[in-house]
Amino acid sequence: MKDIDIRDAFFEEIYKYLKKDKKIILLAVDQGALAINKIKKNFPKNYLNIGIFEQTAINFAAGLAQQGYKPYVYLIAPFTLRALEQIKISLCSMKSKVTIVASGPGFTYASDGPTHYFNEDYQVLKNFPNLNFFCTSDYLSAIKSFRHSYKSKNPSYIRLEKGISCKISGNLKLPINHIFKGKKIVVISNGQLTIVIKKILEKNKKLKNLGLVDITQFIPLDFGKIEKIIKDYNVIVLIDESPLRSSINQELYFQIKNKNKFLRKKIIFINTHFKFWKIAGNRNYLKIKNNIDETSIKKKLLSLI
Amino acid sequence: MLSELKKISNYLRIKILKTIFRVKKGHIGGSFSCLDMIICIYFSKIFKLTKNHFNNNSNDFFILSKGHNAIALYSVLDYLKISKNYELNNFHKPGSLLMEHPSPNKKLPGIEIETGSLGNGLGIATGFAFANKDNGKKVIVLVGDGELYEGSNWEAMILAANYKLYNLLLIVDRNFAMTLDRTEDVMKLENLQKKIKSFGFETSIIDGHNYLTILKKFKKFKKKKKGPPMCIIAKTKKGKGSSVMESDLKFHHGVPNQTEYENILKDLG
Repeated sequence: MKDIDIRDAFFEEIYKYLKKDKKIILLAVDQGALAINKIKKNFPKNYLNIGIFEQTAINFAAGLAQQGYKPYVYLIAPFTLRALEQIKISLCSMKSKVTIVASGPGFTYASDGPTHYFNEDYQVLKNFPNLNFFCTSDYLSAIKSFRHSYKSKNPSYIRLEKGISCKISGNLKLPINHIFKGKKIVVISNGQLTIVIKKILEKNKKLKNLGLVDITQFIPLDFGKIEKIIKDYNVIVLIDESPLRSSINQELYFQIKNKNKFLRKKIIFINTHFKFWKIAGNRNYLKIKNNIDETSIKKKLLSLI
Repeated sequence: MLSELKKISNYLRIKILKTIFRVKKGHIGGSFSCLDMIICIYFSKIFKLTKNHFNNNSNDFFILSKGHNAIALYSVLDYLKISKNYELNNFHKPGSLLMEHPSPNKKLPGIEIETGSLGNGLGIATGFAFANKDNGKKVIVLVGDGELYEGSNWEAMILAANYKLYNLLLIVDRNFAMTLDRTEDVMKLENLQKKIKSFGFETSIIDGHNYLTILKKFKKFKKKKKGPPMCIIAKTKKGKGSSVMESDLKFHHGVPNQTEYENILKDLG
């Protein structure tokens, strides 16, 4: 498969499924992507730009889902917060099969300021029963997240990365992808950071023995699979583009330390600061400020050798 | 038919009063203000809302967005024997399905969505109406006037009008009262008709306790095959039917004491 943009891969997949299932309906909250044009053109009844209202987008989608449709609500990730109550009740409590496609997690839209950061999605959404939470890191994970959300009877949230046009490995496995098998030290990551870390490990001979794991589904979390992987490592490095309190790392730490057999394992966190950044700069700039850029992570990992 | 509806209304008011007095919990005021409209929706046979319709999935949809008045809906569904689970003996009974606010369940045909948090029923109803636009199934959603302070309603109105959801009927239970105060005393909603009309709804004001007028509007809505969504602003009284409650705002969710209870029963005959 030729490398393509992660968002285009996702919407291409919807396009493919639309050919056989006309109950899929894409509801854009005034948010676009190149591959959506094809859906608009060839399946005009299955695409609506429903305007800039997240609460009604979710409620409208819930109503459609209750009547047999499979709505995909496509929005800018941080504005998911606008519709939390609707996600809780209209989707999760009512078990409406709606998928939220949230574009631009973490500091993706850093240059737009704190209104556009979204480092809290996992911390907030994990509180609602029945919701699947997928985390894409490359275009294969985007495709697989779509397929899983399509098959699931429950509502889903897909954290859709932006600006990624590669694949991490040829044989992607949801929900846990053990990319590199290493010795002693394993790095567990997600999203765009996994690509950065993979690059670091590939480029540095001193780090060639580190393991790398990408988590592509946070909820439900398949800890059994993680458990099997980490049993062979002594040091576990947890990296996430959110503050510790908001990230999956907190949950992983809890689960790992809850197992007596893992009590002696050393855990190292690499997270962002818990603050609003009121300065201009793109995603990479804020990663540098938070010491989660390529150079900082490499330095940290080398210090563990 | 009108006298029959009146009899049913009186019977159900007494049943609701007795239930709320027994369990010492319930939103009686608003339940009495919207009851006549719910009775007309179900008993007029204008809409496909009988047990048979529910059984073979050919039913229209009624959504009670002001979920705190669920007891009014339960009482109607119980009277029609839609399911034995609607018996008001179950209201607030631990383990039963009849909560203060309704939640959908296979054992509760007629409860389409979960309401209780105000301002969401209309948005979900637009999804129902959009999905059923081609087959003509009707969607009726009843909101409280105090509920209209929630901005999500106005978002949903933009959407409903834009997609010309002719099969959607919005009923506003205009009882002019919230929990603590009268709407026009603290946060004016008027001119409500002008506002909703300006959002693209075909809007009218009626007496929400006058069966003849209500039925006339319902028939008009039933005939609609195209055009904008419809809105009925139904002027009502909280605690309708008893002078004890009609003049007292505390009966939003206040439970009558023994004396009040006896006087209300006398009023209801």
